[in-house]
Amino acid sequence: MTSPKYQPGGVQPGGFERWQGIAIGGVLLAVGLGICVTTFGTGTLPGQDTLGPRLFPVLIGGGLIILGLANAWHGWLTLRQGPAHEGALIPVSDAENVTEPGDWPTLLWVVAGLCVGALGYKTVGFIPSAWIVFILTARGFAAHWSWKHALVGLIVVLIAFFGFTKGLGLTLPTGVLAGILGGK
Amino acid sequence: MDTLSGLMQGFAIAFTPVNLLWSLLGVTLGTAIGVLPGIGPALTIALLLPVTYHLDPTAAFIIFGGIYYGAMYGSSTTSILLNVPGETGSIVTAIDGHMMAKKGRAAAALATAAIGSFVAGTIATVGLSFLSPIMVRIALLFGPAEYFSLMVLAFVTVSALLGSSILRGMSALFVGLAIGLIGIDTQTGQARFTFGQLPLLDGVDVVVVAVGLFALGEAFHVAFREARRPEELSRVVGSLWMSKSDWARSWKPWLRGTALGFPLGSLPAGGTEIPTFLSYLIEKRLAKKPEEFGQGAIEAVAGPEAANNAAVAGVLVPLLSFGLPTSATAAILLAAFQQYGIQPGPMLFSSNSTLVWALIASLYLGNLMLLVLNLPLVGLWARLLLIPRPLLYGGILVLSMLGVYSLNNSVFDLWLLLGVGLIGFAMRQFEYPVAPLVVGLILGPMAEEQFRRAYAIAQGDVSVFFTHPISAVLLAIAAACVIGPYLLRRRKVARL
Repeated sequence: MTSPKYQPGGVQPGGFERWQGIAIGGVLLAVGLGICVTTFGTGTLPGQDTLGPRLFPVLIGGGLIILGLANAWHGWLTLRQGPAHEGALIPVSDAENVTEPGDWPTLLWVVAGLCVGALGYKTVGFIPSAWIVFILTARGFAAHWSWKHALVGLIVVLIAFFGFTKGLGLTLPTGVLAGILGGK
Repeated sequence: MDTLSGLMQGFAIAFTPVNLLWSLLGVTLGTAIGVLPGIGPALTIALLLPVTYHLDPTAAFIIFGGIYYGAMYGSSTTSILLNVPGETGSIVTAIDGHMMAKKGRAAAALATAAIGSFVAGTIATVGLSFLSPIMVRIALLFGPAEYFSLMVLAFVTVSALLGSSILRGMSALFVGLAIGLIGIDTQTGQARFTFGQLPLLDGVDVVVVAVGLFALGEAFHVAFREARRPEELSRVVGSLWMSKSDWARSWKPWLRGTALGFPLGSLPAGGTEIPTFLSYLIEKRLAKKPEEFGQGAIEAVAGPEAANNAAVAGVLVPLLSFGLPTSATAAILLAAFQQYGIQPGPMLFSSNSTLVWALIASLYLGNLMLLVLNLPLVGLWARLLLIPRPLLYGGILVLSMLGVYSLNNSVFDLWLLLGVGLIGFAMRQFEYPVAPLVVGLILGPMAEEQFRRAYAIAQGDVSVFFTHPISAVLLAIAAACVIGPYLLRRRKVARL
């Protein structure tokens, strides 16, 4: 899975990776500006002008603006001169030299599972929605539908539901199964 | 005498049959979840938080102690057998540990890791018992200005010394600080960056962020990069007893690792990465066969693993005495403390002494239980690594959603979890470290509070941070941590 080896340069420039520094810099810059603009637009109580709830947001927003510019500059240099490695005292990195394209379909199955699960969590209830999360995640990772995965998923979800509600006293939404399980 | 009587009192509580069972449950759950690939101690504690919701604080803390140490053991098993370090402290263990496993010496690697962890954990817990009360006395000298500067130092060390670059570490830290701004300003009651969403008034829960970054971020990463890649699991074969030569090559690295790990872990700079890397480098320098390093040298597992576990106990020193988390795991532990309305810090030892000493006593017991559990049961833990990815990640995501939903019974938190998970995924893809984000999120609001308090006490004089000697020294060290690496690099370049 993740390589413990330290590999300078990390993600090799290619496709989006070439632009990542500039893109990330842009996002940080936008967030920093957003924080500063929102903060200056917020009303304060009398006597709070200097060190009320505004100071830290401005400092953090300002910091993000500077870091955004620095990331973009670093990205620009990387784009022009190739990856140059910055010095950290202890080289810790779990990134690998990634050259092959990522597996978007698997990722989308997993994200879709979570979205469907979150949508139905309260209305449909924990058991069906968590089961869907499990099935769609397993579908993504296995690249095919499997009754075995569905069955294991149902067992896991039922153990989690009864373990946490009956065993630990937590409240989980019962949704469409309220008639059978009781509760809401 | 205070320490000894406190410790005795702690043991009296921890030794009751019910609390022994809680401790056993904690270490077992911690090891079982921690052994799963990609799940480190921070996520293990975050995922298991719901288990403790309805327990009294003492029982909950005894479980936390067990989970904390158990997850560390579990994580090293995964590093050795699967080459997947669950957290950065196990990265070094994975290098030679996995090579040993590939050469059919998995059992010896696991044994030296387990015994080394026990030795280091026990010595470091003794250190924790005696050092914490001393640190509390130092912490009592700290006013808001000193606290603020200490937090600045923690920010800088967590972001600047780790990760592939200072810029990336600082960027992650500031994103964490920005997320920490969300919610009601505690001093004025004014809502900030809540975007009209009621659930955001209480701020973003650190557990949501930790589970999102570590569980979802990891699941997305594996789905995107490694779902089709075959796993290289090494089997545990042979006796778990180390040979005479293994013992001879291990005991000194265990002690040296402990001597490095505990003091470095106790510093506000904290963390487990620096001691483990240093231990590896020192063992390589002292080894009779340095050429074996990287090819499966037992010293390279024994030393760093001891350093890792000693540092883990060391991290509890600033957490308990100053209320200062210096790693992602400590940040989650702090959140767990706060869930019970308990604020770690110098007053904790007087206001909740029974609880603290019960926690410390349970660390001793947990460590012993782990040795007994780990050596004979290592085959069982290894079997957990055989769970196919579709089922493993299906289960992790179901548990993650359940844990996060249970915090406030809020579907909003589930959407937030997904958002944070995507941020975590992006950070992994682009090599941004996540620990500074978690530390920034939890320490940011605390730093702001201390800053404003210090400013108010000094009647608007900002120089208070530089005129108080302790505060000035802490800020100077923080500045040196940022500027130092640049200067060192420039000197290196100049020499070439």
